[in-house]
Order: sequence, then C-alpha cells, then structure tokens
Amino acid sequence: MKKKKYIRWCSFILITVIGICMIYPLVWMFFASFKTNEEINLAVNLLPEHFDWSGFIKGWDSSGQYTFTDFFINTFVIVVPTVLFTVISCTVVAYGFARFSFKGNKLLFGVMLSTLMVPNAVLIIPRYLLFRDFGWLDSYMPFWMPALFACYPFFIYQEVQFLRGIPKELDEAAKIDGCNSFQILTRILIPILKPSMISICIFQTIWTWNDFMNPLIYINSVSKYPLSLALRMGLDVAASTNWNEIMSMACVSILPLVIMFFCLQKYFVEGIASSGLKG
Amino acid sequence: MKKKYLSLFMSVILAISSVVVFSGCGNADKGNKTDGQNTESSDEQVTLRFMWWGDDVRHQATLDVIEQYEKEHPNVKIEAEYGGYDGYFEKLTTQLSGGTAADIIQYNANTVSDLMAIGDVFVNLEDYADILDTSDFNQEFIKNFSYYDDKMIALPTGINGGIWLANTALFDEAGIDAETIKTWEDFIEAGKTLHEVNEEYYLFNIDIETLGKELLGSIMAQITGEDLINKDTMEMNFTKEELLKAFTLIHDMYENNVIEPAADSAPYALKLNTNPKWINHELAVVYGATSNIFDGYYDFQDTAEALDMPQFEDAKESGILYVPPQMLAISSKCEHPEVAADFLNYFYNDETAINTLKACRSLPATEKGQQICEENGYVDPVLVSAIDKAGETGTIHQNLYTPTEVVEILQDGVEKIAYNQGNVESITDDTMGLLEETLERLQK
Amino acid sequence: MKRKKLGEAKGYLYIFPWIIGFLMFQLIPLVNSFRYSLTDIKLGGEYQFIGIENYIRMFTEDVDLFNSMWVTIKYIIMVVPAKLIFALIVAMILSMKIKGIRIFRTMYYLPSILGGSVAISALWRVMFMKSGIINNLIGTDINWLGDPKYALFTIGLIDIWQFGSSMVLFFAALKQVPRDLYEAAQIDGAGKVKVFFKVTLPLISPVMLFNIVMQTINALQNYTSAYVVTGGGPLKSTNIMALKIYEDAFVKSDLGYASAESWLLFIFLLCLSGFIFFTSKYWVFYSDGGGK
Repeated sequence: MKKKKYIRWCSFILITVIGICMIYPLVWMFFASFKTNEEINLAVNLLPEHFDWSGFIKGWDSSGQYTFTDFFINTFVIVVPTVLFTVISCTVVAYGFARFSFKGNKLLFGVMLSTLMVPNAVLIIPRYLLFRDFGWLDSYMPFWMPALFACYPFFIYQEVQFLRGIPKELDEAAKIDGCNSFQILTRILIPILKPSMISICIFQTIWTWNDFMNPLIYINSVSKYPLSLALRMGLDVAASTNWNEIMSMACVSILPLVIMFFCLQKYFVEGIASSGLKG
Repeated sequence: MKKKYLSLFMSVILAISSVVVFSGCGNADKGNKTDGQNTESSDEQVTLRFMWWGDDVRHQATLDVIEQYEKEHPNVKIEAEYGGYDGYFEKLTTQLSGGTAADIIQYNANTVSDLMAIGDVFVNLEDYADILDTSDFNQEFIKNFSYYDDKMIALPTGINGGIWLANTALFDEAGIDAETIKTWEDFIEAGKTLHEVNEEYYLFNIDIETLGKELLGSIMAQITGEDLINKDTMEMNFTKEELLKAFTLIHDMYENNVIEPAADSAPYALKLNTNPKWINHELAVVYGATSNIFDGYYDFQDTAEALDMPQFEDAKESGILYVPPQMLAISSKCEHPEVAADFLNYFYNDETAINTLKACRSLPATEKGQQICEENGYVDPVLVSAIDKAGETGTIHQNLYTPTEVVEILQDGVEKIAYNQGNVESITDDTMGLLEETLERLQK
Repeated sequence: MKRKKLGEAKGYLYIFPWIIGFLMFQLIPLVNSFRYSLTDIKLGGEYQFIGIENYIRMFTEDVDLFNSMWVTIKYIIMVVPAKLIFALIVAMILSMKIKGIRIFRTMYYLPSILGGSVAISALWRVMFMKSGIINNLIGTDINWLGDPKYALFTIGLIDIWQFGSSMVLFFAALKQVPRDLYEAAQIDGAGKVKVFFKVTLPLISPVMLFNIVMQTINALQNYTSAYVVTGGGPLKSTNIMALKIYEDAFVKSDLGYASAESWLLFIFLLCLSGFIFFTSKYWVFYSDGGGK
C-alpha cells in the first residue's frame, strides 16, 4: 500500500512538472509583453521589473494607417460567417446522409471521407487559379464559400455519427405528429445535436482564427489583413524589432481564443473525445 | 399529400438558398465595380494603393507624404501597404499575376525581368508626361534603369551606392590602419588580427542573404568584368575557375573568423543592425546599400567611416554597387493612372514632399532633391562620401537581369560554404551543375 | 413506390450543398492539379502541355526536393512518436483519479488551441534566440534557430507541445477499459508493466491507430511554424515539403512543377497511411465486448 502511495505522488509531481513546462511559454509571453526589449532578451525573471503598457499602446497602432482594431474586425468578418456557414451546411448535409436512403448514399459518404486524405498542398494551387478566375482574390470569398458548401468532411462525419446515435423512432413519432422532414431537423434533431454543433463552431473558430496559409495566399491589401497576417507583418518590418510590441499583440490576438476555451471547456473535451478533432 | 410537397418545397429552398446567397454576393461585387467607374468620370472619391518595403523611418516619412497629399486632394485616399523586404518580392509577383497588386508599386531594380515576364504589368509613364515631370531627374539614371522594351515603366527613388561602413574605434583598438586595407588579402588579415585581439570581435557584419544575393555579384564583377548572366542568350558569363575563386574568398573569410559564424548571424538576416553584436560594437564593418542605412542604424557617428571596397589585385572593375535603391511604377491594372501619376509628381518634385522624405530612400535622384538634402544636411555625411565613391568608380555590371532561380542557386552555394558543408571545390562543381541545368531550361 | 422516390429526392436535396462544394472546391481542383502538373504553367502568361517532364525533373534535377522529403520524414519521425508518448503518459496518470484533474486538463490542452497561430511562432522566435530566455534558463549557449542541427527540433517542439488533443482521446479510451480486466490480470500475478503491455495497450490500440494517422497528416500539413519561425532555413534544414511547394508555386511562380511536387506528397501520404493500416492488422485489437 505504501508503494502505491509513493507511485501516486511521483506521478503527481511528474504531471505537475510537465504541466508547468507546457504552460510556461504562455505565461512568459504574457509577462514579456510588459517588459522592455532588453529585459526580454536578457533577464531570466518571469515577472517584469515594471509593468510597462507601452508595448500594447504602440503595438496596437501597428502601421499607423491601420490599427489592430481593423485587424480584429477583419478577423471577425472572416471568422463569423465562415463558422455559421459551416455549422449550417454541415448539419443539413449530415442530416441528408444519416436519415435518407438514396442511391449512392454509402458511396458518396465514402467519397466524402476519402477527401480527408487529400493534402491541402495539392488543392492550394488549382484553388488559387480558380479563385483568380472568379475574381475572388483579395476578398473573403475563398473562406466563406467552401464553408457554405460544406467542404469540411470531418464535421459532417462527426454529425452523421451523432445522428446515427439518435433513435429513428423520434423521427417517426414527429412524422406522425405532422412534421415534415425539415421540421424534424429543426425541431427534433437540432436541439439534440446542439453539443455536436457547438463543438463544430469551436473548432472552426480556432482553425479560421489561426489560419495563416490561406490569408497569406488570398489576401493582399493591408486593409483586409486578419490578425495572423498583421502579426507576421509586425515581425518582418525591417528596422528595429520591438519584441515587446510583438509579444503584446501576440497576446492580444490569442486572448479571444483563450476566453472562449475557458467558457466552453466542457464542449471542447466532448468534441475531441467523440470525434478526435484537433484544436 | 399537400404537406409532402410543402416539405419538398422547403428542402429545395434550403438547399438552394446557399446558391442564392452565393450569387447575391457576386452581384454585390459587380455593383461595387461599376460604382468605381462612375467616380472616375465624376471626379469623386478615388482610392489608390501604394506598396513599398522599408524600415520605420521610411514608413513614417512616406505615410506623412501621403497624408500631405491627401490634405491637398481631399478626393484621394491612398492606402499604404508596407513591410520589410523579406517576402516582398514573392508577394508582388503573386499579386501582379493575380491582378490584385497595388496601384503604385515600389520594386527592386534587379527584379525587373522577373516582373515583366508576368506580362505588361506597368503603364508607360511617358503617356502621362504632362502630369508627371521627369526633367529634373538624373538623366543617366533614367536611361539606364527606367526603360524596359523602350517604355518608361518606372522612376528611380534615389541614388544608391554600396557602402562599407566601418567603426574605426575597433580598428584603433586592434591597431589596424583602415587606410591600408586595399585587397581582399588585407581584409582577411585585418579580420584575423581583430579576432585575435578579442574573441568576441569579428571584422565583417554580413548575412548569407546579402552575401549570396548582392555581394557575390560584385565580387564576380571584379573577377570577370561582366554581369553574371548574359541576359540575351541566358548563358553564364563566368567559368568554373572564376566562381571557385569567389567561393574560395568567401570560404576563407568564414574560415579565418573574418565573418561571424553563419549560425549566429542567421537570425538577423537582412536586419544586420539588429544583431546584438553590432549593437554592442563587436562587429567592425557592415556592408550594405546606402538606402538601407537609416537613422539609428548605428550609433558611433564620431568614429564612422566609409571604406573602399576590397579588391582583387587583378580586378577587372570595382564591383561597387551603384543603382537606384528602388523604382516606383504604376500598375497597368490601376483604374486611375492619372491620379497615381499626379501623386508621383508630388512625391518626386514637391518641396514639402522632399523635405518630408529627406533621404529615407537614399539620396534623391532629382537635382532639386539632392540640393535640398545637401543644404539641410538630411543625408548622413558618411553616406554621402560612400555615394560619391560609388558614383566615381561604380561598376557598369549591376546584374539587373539575373533570373531569380540563378540567384537562388548561387546563394545556396554560398550558404553551404558558410556552414562548411564540404570542400569548396565540390560545392563549386555542384553549383555549376545546377546552374547549367537551370539555364538550359530557361533558354527554351 | 412514389413515396420512396420522393424520399430519395429529398436525400439528394439535403446533400446538395456538399455535392456542389465537392465538385467545385475539391474534385475539379484535384483534377486540375494533376492536369497542371503536366504543364509548364506559371503565375502569368500562356502555358503548354509538357507531358511528364516535371516529374522527370523532380527525380533528376532537384536536389532540394530530396532534402525536403527527408526533412519531412525526419519531422514526422520526431514529432509523431514524441507526441503520442507524452499524450499516453499524461493520460494514464490523469486516469489514476488524481486531484485537480480539471486544472491539469486545461494546462495540457491550452497549447493545442493556440499552437497553430502566428502568435506562438513569434513567441518561439523570441524565446529561442541565442540570447533568449531558453538559453538563459537552462544555461546553454545553443543556436536553436541558426544551427541546422537544432532548427528542425526547435520547430518540432511547437508541434510536440500540442499533444493535448491526443491526450484527451487516450484519456477517453482509458476510461473505457473495464476495471475487472486489470483486477483479473493482477490476480494472475502480472506486474504493472506486463498489465500495461498485455491489457491496456491492446485495448486502446484502435485509438492509437487513429492518433497515429491523424497526427501524421497534421505533421505533413504543418506550415506556419516553419514559415514564420525559420523560413525554411538555415541551410534548408527546416524546408519541409509544404513549404517547398508553396515557395516553388508562389515565389518562383512555377505552378506546374509545384503541382507535380504536391502529387508526390499526396502519393507519399497515401503510401504511408496504407502502410500504417496494413501493419495495423498485427497490432490493433478490436474488442467486440468493450466498445460502444
């Protein structure tokens, strides 16, 4: 029994140490944004000598013409419609796959899953040329449209799995009560699907928020930059690299995600556990 | 049965609502475009995008000029798009080919052939001669750099010389006389001496990017007296032995601790002034273009001096850089080229603008600009002396038309030498092989 | 009969958005990508069909391509096992019903949410400078980002740091393992290590398979950290395939050639997952009783 206790303590210490290593960079980043440049480079202390807000103030102004207010607005303009389109289109499509038997249902479902295996690198060039022909470059269409047309097989798969777990008798009962198929979806199934839909919203928000490659390729005007590109712009302005400004803005840019994480933690864990999504 | 059809109807609505939204957006987009065309005729709000790279000083000065211009022309709004040079060229090529480039574009003179390969991407500025006055420019510069296929596609922003900016305090400490450094051998000897005095000291502050993409061309010009590549035939203007000579020089500089080890300087590529060793005065000489040396780049004004570029004893020409720092062009996709031309005219010829921009793009290329800058002491005297030197002896062969792929291959070779990946001869062999294959493909 | 037809039509209607999306944004681009790989298409101007020339060039001329493939393989070999081992260890400790499990779960999971962002890449650049906090903390003088020996490892750390999602999956799988199996094994006199290899590991092997495949795909797609932190350097030691394809396409404007490279990556991915699935016969154990 003594040995068991000993193991427990060791394990506890081990995960505490690993946990601190995990969280340390984030805490360091937070405090670094209050430090001066010299302090960031040289001091080992976690806490800054003085809490200096100038990094935030200067960093927020960014280029002068456009501030982080603009970049935040841009990010929201990209993220919010993308997330809404995704969750609506994926739910509808998943409903079609899970509840209707039609010719080729299984085949199409298989095709949909197999698109998961196609790496982004293969699609990025033809998509770029396609969007160029559509005149969608330097606009947010390349983000909104694929979401509107349910190009996220993982989410559809997740919802189909969820729907299959809901007894069909519920649908039948509703049908007898006079609901049509669309009403069955909106009145009966969506309330049950809610946790799954929320987890889709969460993950799509994270992915779109953090996305760097797509904005890099599709967005050209600084006035349309989302946060990811704005941060990168701050990093490469040649003159002097003001690390405290960059750290402050890095902190600010991930703050909404952190807040979302703490508010919706329950759904995060459920979302991954049920489908294996990656954050 | 009616209900069945109703539900079917609902499904149709739902399924195609997406299509409606989609086409709705498309229409809205078109609507905006026609709006834009209307403004042109009624002379209402005009929005231009101006894209450049630079440092904070240049950004601020350029933003100020934009603001001044906007104040004088309330109907014009100029959106600034700027950053560092890292990634600028790739962004520009993608945008030009995608038709989403800015209206006023700053580009590096040595990328012109890559840009023009995309298509007819810039307007002929001579079409706007009544708006944009180019008479005050250094005509020699205009002749050499502004024309492409007999069209004036861009104007130089200034006069740029290669500078070997030295902190003579370090020379004094090590007992080196800067005047005696004439040849590359002298340079390497001085580097050795300096590093022996203090292990933290290195003579030469340079990164692999600058070394491989810019300085190598100068070194090769000394050896061959030619551009790297013949732009008409796409053939190499050098032999293996000549490249080996240049690579050996670079190897010797790393080997003898003349240059800081590549791994240490890599994080400061293209931002040599942010290297902590430079800030702490542990590096004696920096090589760069005068346009990149801005206020605050160095803080040893009292001991600063512009050195001569080291030479080979049998050098065919000086190899010194003497080009415009950048060119400004108007995109052929620009909807209001006449407004853009008017802005350029303000940018180059207006006194307030010149007084605001000062020397943020090196010494101006216009008579009036140079005069104002000199009278008011806007240009660092060390830079002036470097530009004068470059003007006297600058190389004719500035490698303006070397294809990017060739530059990349040469730079990869330099990087391998810097990181000591094998002996110089085999690296030279590999590089020559790659160059031959690539040029063969480009000749097609 | 009529009713059934109607039901079918409705089914098609609901999946209609996906069909359009699939055609427009996936199938047509996929076909086009292959078509482009047989041409010399550039960012601007005309292009022509050149057969398999791009593919020949890939294997005969392009030394960098081999380097990039090798870097990518090294990256996968480093990141995927490390991630899974950490995830499994932590999940097992957490499943011991330790106090404060919620706090730990938060600590471990938070990096997975933020890790893909430019913000974290920027943070890495600051922390791993030669004069930066990491060297100061552990008292070394290593050039994390400038030395070709360490740069890939430094980038990989960002990825390993995000083991949270694999951990949550393992944790869920471990909870499903019936208690009585452990007890039975212990009564038989099996030691802890033996119980782990004979009972726990087989039972969570399906999740293990899933994690391996997903993490491999993720590692292949990773792009932001290599682009922002090191830009592929030094000495191309972090020039992973995704980055090389991007540069060939959008920097060198060689879209046709980059398309060919992307197909090489695709085929590599297919072979790799095929291999993993093939071997999974021998080590993945599907229980018929314990599952859902």
